[in-house]
Amino acid sequence: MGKVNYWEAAVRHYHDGKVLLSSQPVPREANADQLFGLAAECALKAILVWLGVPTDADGGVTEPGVKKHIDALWPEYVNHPDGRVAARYQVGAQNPFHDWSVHHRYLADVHAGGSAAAAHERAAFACLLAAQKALADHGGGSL
Amino acid sequence: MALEAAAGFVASQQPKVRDALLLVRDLAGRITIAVDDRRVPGAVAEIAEAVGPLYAQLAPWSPGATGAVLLASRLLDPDAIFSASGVVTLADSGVRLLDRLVTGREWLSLPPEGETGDHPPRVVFYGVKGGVGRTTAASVVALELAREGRTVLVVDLDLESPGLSHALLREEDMPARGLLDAYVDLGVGPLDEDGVRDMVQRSPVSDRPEVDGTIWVAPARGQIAGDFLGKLSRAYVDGIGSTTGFASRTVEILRRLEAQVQPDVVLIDSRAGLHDIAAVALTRLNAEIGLIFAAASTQTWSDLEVLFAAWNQRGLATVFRERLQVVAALVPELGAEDYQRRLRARAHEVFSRTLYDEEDAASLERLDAFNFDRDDESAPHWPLPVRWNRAFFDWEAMGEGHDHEAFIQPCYGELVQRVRACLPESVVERG
Repeated sequence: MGKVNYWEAAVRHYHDGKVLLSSQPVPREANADQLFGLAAECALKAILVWLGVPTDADGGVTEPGVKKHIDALWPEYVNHPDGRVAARYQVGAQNPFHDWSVHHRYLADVHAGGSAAAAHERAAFACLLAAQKALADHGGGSL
Repeated sequence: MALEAAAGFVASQQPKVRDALLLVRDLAGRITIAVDDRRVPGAVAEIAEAVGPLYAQLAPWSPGATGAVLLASRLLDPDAIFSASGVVTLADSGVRLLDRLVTGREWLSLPPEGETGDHPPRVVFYGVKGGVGRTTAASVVALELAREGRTVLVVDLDLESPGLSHALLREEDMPARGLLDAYVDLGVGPLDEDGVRDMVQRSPVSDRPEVDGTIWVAPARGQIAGDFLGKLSRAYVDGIGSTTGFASRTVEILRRLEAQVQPDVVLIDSRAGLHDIAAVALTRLNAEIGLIFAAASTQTWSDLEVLFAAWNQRGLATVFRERLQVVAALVPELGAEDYQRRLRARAHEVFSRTLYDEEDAASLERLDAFNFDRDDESAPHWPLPVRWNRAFFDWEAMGEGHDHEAFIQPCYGELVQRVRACLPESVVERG
């Protein structure tokens, strides 16, 4: 296992999601959607790490409450101990990924989701912006 | 000093590279070099190599010897960093800096463009140390202006330890809501009319026979206390989106109160200390004058020098310095002249080091150079005296006794006159 870097991962997943979404002749929504969920998850975890949640030797989060995918992570993040600093990276109480699931990746094409890809893209973007803010706030060079 | 060293590094680069560099100071004060590699892609490798020794030199105020530069190409939204509204240009070096401070950042940026000045005159009472009689002075000024028939709106922006509201309102007069509630509400949506009405109350002082005008008070806290500490935290939190920052909320609250009360003048009591509120009050409210209540003590001037130097460093001194007026708080009865001389000297020293233009041949030529001699009475540093008198020791604006009245003129006369001078001519014509 290599070194975890949630910020880099978030940016990578987001960009690749956009590539799939803009693919021709037909946008590849199902997997784009998966990547947006993954991007948002990594963005929120990046923020949590900068805020000081415990991590293992590779830099991965260890708290059970936070070791989740985006659908379950969102409410955990929103309810995380609110400090003046944490409040800077608010993403809103409503969970836009409530209809996202990691299980979609195993399903038949027709059930694999993707119709909410555009909405999830926007939500992932918002999470990444918050993470970018946190990046600059916490010694932006040491990624 | 870390910032100077980092600025020196940037300033020593070739012009094209220099213009693509930004210093980013994080919440802990560590400095990172940010490179807009969209503009100078070829320079990245060289800079990345050069910052290693720089970071080692800056430690612990850097991302560490192995720290990297922050690249625009690796960001999702590079302009949010490189063109952030918080970026300032350092006066000495011309190097650009983005300071990520949680507190104190908003007040270091320029007044909002939307502030057209279409509001009644605002006067801020500010003191870097508590206990210098700022609140008493504000009460006296409110009383004197109301006596002359004016409608005075008093805003108690000392959210954490409000004094002025209690000086002018009895417990039973306190409105249901205070400023604190408005700050919190604005974090999630607009203020409704009822909410504004419930925040302000007429002071019983207005009913005195000698008072022709009215004093309205917007207290820091209302009757309904609720979760005070929780509210205080939420009041300071930046909302989602830039229009709900603390400074913007302060401006909005003032505008709504002014629309509600239609005052001739607004007196704002601002928190003592180098905190957001005081700093915001001085810089974002388009105040006619910022009265700085100061004692002669070393501590006071040391604190003020820090504040002024921060403005100066960011090239903002020129925006605010013309609106300042030092007030000699609590000039003692005995040794008054000596006290004022000491205070004047100290004030002049600090102003000269920070806010006044350099006294060199070039500035002496310029008619608009902003500097003043030590004994120039028209100077912002020249302390307006407020004289301590035992009559005001336990004076209360709402008190029964009027023994103090003989002392208002000798003790506060100059201060009241200075505030009066900010106002348009008399209100005798009004109804």
